[in-house]
Amino acid sequence: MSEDFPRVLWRDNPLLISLAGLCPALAVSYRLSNALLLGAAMLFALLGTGIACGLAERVLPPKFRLSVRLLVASALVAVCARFLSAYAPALAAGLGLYLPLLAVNCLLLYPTGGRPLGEAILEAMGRGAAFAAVLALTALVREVLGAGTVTLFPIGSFPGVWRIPGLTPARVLVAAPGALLVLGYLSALARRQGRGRS
Amino acid sequence: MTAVGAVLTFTFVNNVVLGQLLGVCPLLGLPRQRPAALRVGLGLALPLPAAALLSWVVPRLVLAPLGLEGLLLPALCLVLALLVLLPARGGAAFLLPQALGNCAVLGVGLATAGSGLLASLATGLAAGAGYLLAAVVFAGLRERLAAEQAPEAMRGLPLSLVTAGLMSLAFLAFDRTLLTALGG
Repeated sequence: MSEDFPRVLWRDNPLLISLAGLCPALAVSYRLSNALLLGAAMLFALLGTGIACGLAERVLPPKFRLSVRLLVASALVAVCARFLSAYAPALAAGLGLYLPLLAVNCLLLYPTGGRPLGEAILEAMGRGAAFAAVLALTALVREVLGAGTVTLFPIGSFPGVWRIPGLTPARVLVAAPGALLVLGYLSALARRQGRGRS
Repeated sequence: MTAVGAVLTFTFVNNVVLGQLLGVCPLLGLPRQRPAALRVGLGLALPLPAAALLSWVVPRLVLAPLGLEGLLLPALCLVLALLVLLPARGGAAFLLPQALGNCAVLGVGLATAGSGLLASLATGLAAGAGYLLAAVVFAGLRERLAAEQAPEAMRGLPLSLVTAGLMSLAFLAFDRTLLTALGG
């Protein structure tokens, strides 16, 4: 596992290699704080679904596995969405539609297939970390180049936004095309690295 | 949102795939030949109006009488979960999982929640038309790109992503005020 973890994060990252589960997340990756928040929500939902479905799949006939996964995931994501809109309405509004959309994410719906619970939990954490890492990297590139800022969460006297001096922002990167372009080049970079090392 | 506004928004100004980035994965996975891409694109576009209709029906007829308006997301997912269990026939066996895993389906469903029947239906149809438009243009672009020599690391997914990004850039040219003036 100690060797697998960095491998999943960069070289065989499910998001960069096959793009599994990325579409609902791409749209909000124009700001770093959005990406971190969505990554955290995804980790929570992945762990919850992994544990609940890992246990349920021991007794469920295979036919019902996808349906049960979908229901458990949607319930957990709904909990996340309601919690955020109650305690951090501004952050929830920033994510908008794309937070509830995590419910149909392929990463959540991909079956783990009756493996021991410990392995399922590790796998869920790996996938969640990979998702959060790619999203955060995409968001960092887009925000720095597209807006010239880095946005985190406001804590105490820190307002949550760093402005990087001396940058002329390319606005297109924070618009929709930026997400596809940045991810395309990141994915090419990951592939190149993978080829060089293997 | 008015019906005309919905059509203009979801098809052109803020195209469901290229502007709102809903359903990008199935778009990138489309077959490379145009006729096949059109068929699969149609299969992916048709559930969108159905989802819009569903998100009008479910809150009014099921959730409101029970006082559970906040549970729209699990309720829509329950419908999807039941659809997965249906025995699939012929082409549906191939299309159904793809169509349901398409985040655009749930996205359109959630985006139209709270609108009137006509506006919901117009949004769903416009989103479907926008999806089909994107799929056809994308397949055409990829057919032409097949003849080009791309660097090895860029082949496949990265090239598709950059292509989609450039298409999305082109769609930014649709100006909301101009189209709204044309549409009245």
